[in-house]
Amino acid sequence: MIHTLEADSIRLEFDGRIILSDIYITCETGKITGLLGRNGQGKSCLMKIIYGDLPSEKSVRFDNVAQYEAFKRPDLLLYLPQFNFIPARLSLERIFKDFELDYLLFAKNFPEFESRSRSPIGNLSGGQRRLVELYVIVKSKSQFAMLDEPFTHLNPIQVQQVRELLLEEKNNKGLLITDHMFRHVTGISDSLYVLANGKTHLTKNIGDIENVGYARL
Amino acid sequence: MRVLKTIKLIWTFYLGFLLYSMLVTGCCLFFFYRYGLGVFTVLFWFKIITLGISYHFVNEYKQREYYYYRNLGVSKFLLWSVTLSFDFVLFIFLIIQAYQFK
Repeated sequence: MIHTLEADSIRLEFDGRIILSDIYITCETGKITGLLGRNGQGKSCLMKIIYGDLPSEKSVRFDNVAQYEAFKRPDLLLYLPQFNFIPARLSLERIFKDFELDYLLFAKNFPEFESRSRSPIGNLSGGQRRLVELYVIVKSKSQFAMLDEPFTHLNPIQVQQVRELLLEEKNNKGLLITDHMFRHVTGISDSLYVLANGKTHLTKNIGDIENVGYARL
Repeated sequence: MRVLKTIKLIWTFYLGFLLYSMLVTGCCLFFFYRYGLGVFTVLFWFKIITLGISYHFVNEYKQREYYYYRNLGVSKFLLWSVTLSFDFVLFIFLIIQAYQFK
């Protein structure tokens, strides 16, 4: 069964400046939806609004059922914020136990973690820490996961591993991704939105992201 | 199982300010034991205020960690309501014990 996540009727203002006004975004399970936009266009705000973390006018629906505080339903939506969010003192073993994930399977896919199960996550490098955070969000049971800058801090090998992980995991959930490394996003997305001037533009082809002024290809 | 996991997560959150909180409670117990019931009102409000300070500092410096608990189904409200209640009940319990012991 295909599940849908839709967000629209969103309006966000800061000090009289309209940040988001004409938004429509839809995600489906089995697909990766990309969201691009320049700095300050409101990508992270949009994710926080969908998650229910940032109050605003909105309509967020899962399978046509409104959900204003999606953060109360991790079975529906998980969220990877753009910063480190796991308490630094927690060991990897503990984190994987909390998320009910198999650490050995993770270490098999990412051998650099083989002997690190008892290490506090705060002792890892920035890239390793990001990789663990990304992995637990992507692999945990949920209909959807929103990933804010999943490729940031990762080295090229890790980026490739994450791309493969996301492509594999989209079979189990819907993924909404935003990142400034837009070629990685466009490379794996099934549908792509560009956020510009407070509005979402659904692109039909890769040339559209240049047409809306996001990037020069 | 689900309840145990939630308790474990709340305990993990509580560990973030447990030391500071126990230090405050310890000081309160010391003054209560030394000066008796007459200082209870002062100690009561002192404890309340320090709990408010804990709330403020955790919100200021550890607010990013809320996403960990939320992704595991534990809300900010649940974290605070349980930890503050537990901490305060423990404070009252220890004060009563100190009174009886005295």
